[in-house]
Amino acid sequence: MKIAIVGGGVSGLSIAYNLAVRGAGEIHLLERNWIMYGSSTRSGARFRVHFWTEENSRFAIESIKRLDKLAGKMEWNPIIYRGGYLWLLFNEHQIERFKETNKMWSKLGAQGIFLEPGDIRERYSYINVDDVLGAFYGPQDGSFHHDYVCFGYYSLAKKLGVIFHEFTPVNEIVIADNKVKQLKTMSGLVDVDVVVLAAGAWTNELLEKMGIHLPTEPLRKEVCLTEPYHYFIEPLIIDMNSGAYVGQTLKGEILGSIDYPTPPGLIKLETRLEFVIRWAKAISKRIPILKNARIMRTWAGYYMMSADNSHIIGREPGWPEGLYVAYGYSGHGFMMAPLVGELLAENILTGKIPELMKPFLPTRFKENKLIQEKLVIG
Amino acid sequence: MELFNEPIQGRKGSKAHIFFHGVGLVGYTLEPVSIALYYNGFKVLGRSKKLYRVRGFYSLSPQDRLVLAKVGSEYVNPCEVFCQEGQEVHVDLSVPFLVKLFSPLLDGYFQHRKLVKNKILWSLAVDKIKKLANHPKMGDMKMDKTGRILEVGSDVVVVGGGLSGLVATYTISKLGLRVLLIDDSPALGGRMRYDYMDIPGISMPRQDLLQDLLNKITASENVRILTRTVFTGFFEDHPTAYSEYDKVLYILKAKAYIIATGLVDIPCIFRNNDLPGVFSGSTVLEMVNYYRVEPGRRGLIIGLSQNSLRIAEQLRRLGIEIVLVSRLKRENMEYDLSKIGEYVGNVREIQAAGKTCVERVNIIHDGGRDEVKVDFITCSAFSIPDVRILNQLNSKMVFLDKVGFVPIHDEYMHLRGNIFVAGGVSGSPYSILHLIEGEIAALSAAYKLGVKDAEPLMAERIKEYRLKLSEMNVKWKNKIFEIVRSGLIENTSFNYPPTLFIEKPRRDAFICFCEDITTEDISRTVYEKGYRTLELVKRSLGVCTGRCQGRLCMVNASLYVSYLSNLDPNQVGLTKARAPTTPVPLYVLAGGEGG
Repeated sequence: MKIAIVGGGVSGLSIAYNLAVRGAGEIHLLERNWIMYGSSTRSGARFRVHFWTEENSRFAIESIKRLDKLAGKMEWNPIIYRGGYLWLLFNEHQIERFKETNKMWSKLGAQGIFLEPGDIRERYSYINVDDVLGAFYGPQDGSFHHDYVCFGYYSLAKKLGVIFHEFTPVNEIVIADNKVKQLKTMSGLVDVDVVVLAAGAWTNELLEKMGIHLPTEPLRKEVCLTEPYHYFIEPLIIDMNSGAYVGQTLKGEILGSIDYPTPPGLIKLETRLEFVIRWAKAISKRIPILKNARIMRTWAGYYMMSADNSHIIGREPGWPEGLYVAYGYSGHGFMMAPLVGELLAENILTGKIPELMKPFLPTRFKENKLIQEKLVIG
Repeated sequence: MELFNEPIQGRKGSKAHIFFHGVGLVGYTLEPVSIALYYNGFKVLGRSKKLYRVRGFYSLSPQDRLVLAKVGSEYVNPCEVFCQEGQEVHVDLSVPFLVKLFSPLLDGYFQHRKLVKNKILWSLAVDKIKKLANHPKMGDMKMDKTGRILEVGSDVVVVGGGLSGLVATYTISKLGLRVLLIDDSPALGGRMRYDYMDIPGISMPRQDLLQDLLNKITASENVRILTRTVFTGFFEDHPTAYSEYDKVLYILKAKAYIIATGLVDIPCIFRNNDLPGVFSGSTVLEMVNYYRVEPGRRGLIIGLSQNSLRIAEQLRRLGIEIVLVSRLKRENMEYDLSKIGEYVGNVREIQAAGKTCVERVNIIHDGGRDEVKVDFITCSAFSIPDVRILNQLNSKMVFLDKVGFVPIHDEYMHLRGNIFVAGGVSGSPYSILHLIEGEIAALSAAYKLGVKDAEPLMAERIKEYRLKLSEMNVKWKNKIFEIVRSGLIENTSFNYPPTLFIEKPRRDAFICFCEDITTEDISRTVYEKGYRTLELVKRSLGVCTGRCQGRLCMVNASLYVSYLSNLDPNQVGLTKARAPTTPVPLYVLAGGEGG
C-alpha cells in the first residue's frame, strides 16, 4: 500500500510515524514548505487535559500518555513539563461550571484543585487577586517544546523509512472510480492508494477541490514573547475575565496572548500593535511585576477552528475511497496529535474505527452530533 | 600621513560619580555606563546565559543586548544608559555550583543527551534546569516606572541618520514635505560621527559635510528628529519606534518610509571570540573618536579592507599599536601597511586568550604560529547591510559574496509599496554612493507622494548614479537591479565566510552570543541532524532567538551552515525577523496606568 500524508506539521508527522511503526508500507509525507512550517512551529507549546467535554478530555489524557511514552524513544527531548494550568475565576457561574466539570475530570483521573483567593496569593504571590473569586488548578497540564516534539517524530519516522518531500506543495488530489488515485504536485503526478490530509489551515483548499466541505475555518492568533527572565511563573495562567493568558517557558521567556477580534480566513500572519497593547494592559493588571518585562517578539499562526472546536479525524463513508483527514484541531493540535496518529493509523490499516476516535469523525456534522467544546484558550 | 602620539582628551559631558558594586568611579554624563566602566578597568559586564562565560560589550548599539546590568533598579543594556550622579551599577558574576559541575556537558545538545532525556531523570532534572539560566530576576526591579505611547505624523519617515539618511531627510524637506528622522544613536551622523577620516570621492572634509547637513536639516521647519530612538518595525496596524531614553513608544503615521539603517560589522568567528575586549570595528572608532576612551594600547584588527585600514590608521594616530591579520596573502597586497603596523597574512585560525578580557592572541597561519600580546580585538572582516527591518517585511533578499544579504530593490531605490532603501543597507559599500542613493530614495518617495518637481531631478540623479556605478565598477548593484527585472537569482560564488577564523568547529568559537551557541553546536546540527536551512537550525538550537534577535548572529549562522553543507547561502537563507526589533517594556505599552 502506498500512503501519502499531506502536511508536515505535528499531525502529519505523528500519523507518518504511527503508520511506519505498524509497517504500513510505502509512506510519503509531502510538505509545501519546510517540515513543521505551517502552524506547528508557531505553537504556544502547552498541553492540557481539561476540556469541557468528556470526549476531548479523555482524548487528551490518552494522547499525553502516548507522548510521555515516546519521549524516551525520541532522539530529541520533548521537554515535557507539568507546570499546571491555573484558571482565574471571577464569578459564581464560572466556579460552578468548573466544579461541575471537575466531577467528570475526577472520573477520568484528572482531578483539579480549587483555590480561594488567599490560597492563590500564598502559592503565586505575584498574582493580583483583588477581583478574583477563586481559581481552578489543573496539575496534570503543562508544556513541551513544540519544535523538539516535531523533530522527534520526524527523526523517528525517517529512521522507519518514511519518505519526506519538503517544499512540495500538493495542488490537487486526482480521483478515479471514486478512489484516490494520484497527487498532483509541481514535480508531477504521484500514484497513491491512501491520502491523509493533515495540512491544518490549508486543508480545505484541497478538500473543496473534491467538493467536500467541512465546517472549519482558519483563525489567526497572535502571541507575544518577552525577553527571558529568571523562572518564576510555574503554571499557565488564564484570566477568565480579560481572556488573556500568560506563562513562562523553561527558557525563561514570558509568553502570552489575549482574545482579540480577528476576521477568519487565511489572512497574513502578521501581528498588531493594538493586540500587543491590549495584552500588556491585561497582564500588567493581573501580574503587576510583569510591567518591567520587555516584549521581544510577536508572531502569529492559525488555529484551524472546527464548528465544535474539536479535531476531525477519519473519513466519511461517502468520500472517495482512501481519503482521510486529520485537522480542525482548533488550537489543540499538539495535545491531540500523538493519539490521532495512533488511532488513524489503526483505522487506515484495519478499517476498524477505534472507540476513542468515534466522536471525532467528520460525519458528526451531518449527523448533528457536535461535541460542544467551549473551552478554547487564546 | 602624520603619526602623532597624543593622549585622547575630552570625554563627553560633565563628571558624574557612579558606584560599581559600591566602588566609586568617575564617569561622564554623556557617555554610556559601559564606557565609563571600561575606562575604569571593569571590562566584565555580566555572564552569559547558559555557559556563564564572562561577557563585555561588542558594540554600543542599544539593539545588541548581549548582557544586561542592573543600573539603579532596572536591568538594562549598559551601553544604552548614560552615567548619572550617584548611579549604582551591579552585575552578578557568580556561577551556580551545578553549572560549574556540569559545564563541560552544557552544549547545545545537553538536554537531548540520553541520560538527561531519560524520563525519570528528566522529571528530576527539569526543576533544577529551569532555574539555572542566567537571567534577570523580575522581582529585583522597582515598579514605579511609567511610559507613554505617542502618535507622530509625517509625510515621510527616514530610518537611520547616517550619510544617506541625512541626505534623504534634507532632500525631502527641500521639496516641501514633512519628514521624521529616526536614529538609535545619541547623535546624528552615523559613521561620520566617529570616523574622522575624509570620505573618498567627496571633496568636502568630513567634518564640514556633516556640519553642513546637520545645519540644513535642523534649520528646516519640515524636519523632526528623534535620536536615541529605535525604529521597532512594522506591526500590521502601525509602524512603531521606541525611545528607551524617554520611555516613549511612537506610533508612526507616514505615507512613505526610507530605510537607511546602514551596515553592521558582524563578529568574527574565532576561539574565545566572546571575551570582553572583542569589539566591532565601528565600536572601536566610536570609543576613541566620539567618547574619547581607548579600547587598549595594542590591538588586533581582523580583516583587511578599506574599513579595517581606516580603523587601523586612526588608532595608530593615537599611538595605539596595531597588528592586522587577514586571510589574504602578503604578496597580493596593494597597500603599504608598514606605517600602520604589523601584518600577519594567510591566517587560518585565531585563538584569543585571557581570564576576564583579551590578553593575548595565538595566530595560526601558513608560516606557523605567532603569539601576540594585545588588549583588544577589532572585528572588521565583514560589514553587512542591517536588513532586519526589511526582513520583517518579508522582502526578498539575495546573498552576494562579500556584500551580504541584500534586499532586492530597483534603481529608484524602491523596495515595494511605500518603502524605499538607501545607503549601506541596500548593499552599497561606498559613501559616495550613499550620498546619491539618499537623494534618489528621497526623490522617488516624494514623487510617489505626488511631488511632480521630483521627476526631472530624479532623472538627473539616476544618470549620475549609473555613471558612478560603472566608474567605481560596482557590479553587484546592477545585479540587484537585474533581479528586479528578471526575477531570477543566480548562484553565488560563495565559498568561505569572510568572518570565519577557525579550522574546525570549536566549542569556544561562538556564533550566537545571547544563547551561547557555538560552531560545534551548529556543525552537529548540520552533520548529525541534517538540518540545512537557517529556519530549522534556529529551531533546533535557538540561534537568532536571543535578545539581539539575530542582529549579530543571523548572517554568521547562515554563512557557517552554507559553508559546512556546501550550499549556496541563498538556499540556507535567513530567518524571518519579527516586530519589535528592540524589546519594549510592558509598562510603556500599557501606558503606565497598568490596565
